[in-house]
Amino acid sequence: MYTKAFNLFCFFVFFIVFSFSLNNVHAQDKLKFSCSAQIAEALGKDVIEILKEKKGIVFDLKIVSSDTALKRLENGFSEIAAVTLPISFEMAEKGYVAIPFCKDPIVVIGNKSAAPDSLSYEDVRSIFSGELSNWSQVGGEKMALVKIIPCEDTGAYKNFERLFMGIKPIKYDFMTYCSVTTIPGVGAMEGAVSFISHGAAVKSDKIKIFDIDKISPMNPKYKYFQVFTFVTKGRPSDSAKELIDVALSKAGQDIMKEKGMIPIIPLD
Amino acid sequence: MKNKFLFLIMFFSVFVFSGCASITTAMWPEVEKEVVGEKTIVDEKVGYDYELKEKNKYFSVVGIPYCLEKAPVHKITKKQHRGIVFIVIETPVWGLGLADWALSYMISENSKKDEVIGYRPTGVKKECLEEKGAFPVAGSKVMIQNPDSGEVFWTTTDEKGMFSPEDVLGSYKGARPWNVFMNYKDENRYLTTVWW
Repeated sequence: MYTKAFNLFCFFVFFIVFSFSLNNVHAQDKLKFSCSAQIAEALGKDVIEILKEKKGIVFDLKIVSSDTALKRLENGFSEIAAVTLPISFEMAEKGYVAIPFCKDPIVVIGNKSAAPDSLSYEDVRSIFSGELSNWSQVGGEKMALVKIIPCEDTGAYKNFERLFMGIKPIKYDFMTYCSVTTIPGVGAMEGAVSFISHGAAVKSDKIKIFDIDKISPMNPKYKYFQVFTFVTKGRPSDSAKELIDVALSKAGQDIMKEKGMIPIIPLD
Repeated sequence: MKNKFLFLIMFFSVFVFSGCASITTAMWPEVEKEVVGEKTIVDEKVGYDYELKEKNKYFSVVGIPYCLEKAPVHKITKKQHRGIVFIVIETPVWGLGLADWALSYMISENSKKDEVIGYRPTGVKKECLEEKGAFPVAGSKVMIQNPDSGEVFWTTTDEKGMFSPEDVLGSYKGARPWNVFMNYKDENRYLTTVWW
């Protein structure tokens, strides 16, 4: 009987607490924005701050892979997407609008422990195809190579495969769900190597960014770029236009240049 | 024994819980929240919107003064309707819960204060009430981008705000999308995407 009374008491207590915690929530209109993790890390968050401050636009930002961002747009879960992949001709014919706005070097990054300063194009291919297994084979310390790569849905993976690997399959030790998660992974693990957008990597002081064939990613002669593109389903809405205009404005382009990215639409 | 215990609980609950909802509602501090209202206003002119129009084989750039739509921000203070659970207990016994519920509801509603503390942009552009009408944008730099290659072509509008896409993209004939931008001071403005 005492157990029943106790249960009854608990029920009342729970009910009282629950009834006090009810509050109304007001939803505001927001620009639904799906952004590739690389772009969000390199650029998106700064641009969004400018927009919030100047135009009072509120965002519903979802950071995902480029592939997922395009699918969210297609399924009506976002008004605008920022991706690191080009859209197909079929999508363009269906009425999707692609606005390339920035080029960013894709860079090979490594843990500071054992890495040399520069790698050749062939070294990179050999490392990620599994032909090399030790840093000493590319002029570094005697230490095992640990390959961390972003998952296959990400723009970083697809662009790296297209620009560096060709038909050679990529072999790896660890795979991350999100492309920018490779940065803390490489920073924390001795002998680790990966690849990512330069704009996202430049913030971290725990990793080393390799020159490729002795050419720095900041050098105009560097050849390996990915293109950042805004995509909308049909012509952009007013608030999506504002986002595009801020990214193309001087303030937006200054952020890009600061991080070694190259604006595609020049100001003059 | 069991019935006695239940009877005791119910009997004491009448005394313990009667009027509790009204008392807790009245004693609870007012809750403050900001709510964006629905009745919007059109604010002062903030800039010009630019549009690209197609006429015969020419494109023309027109400027339209625009104002921002703003929505009022209401600061609402109100005592929240509390102690619903007491009403649930009171009602089946002597029906007193209904009176308690009505009283607590009245206390809550009477305490409501609604004050407009400012206006917030909704992000929607509206035609201004004072300055109306489109005008041609003469002598403006226009950029046309091929979205596949990222290649950009430049041209300038004439005194009527017009330019010929054929002069700029002559060698690229064929149905494909082109992004059109306008350069204005320190900014590039996206105008539209056309198939040409």
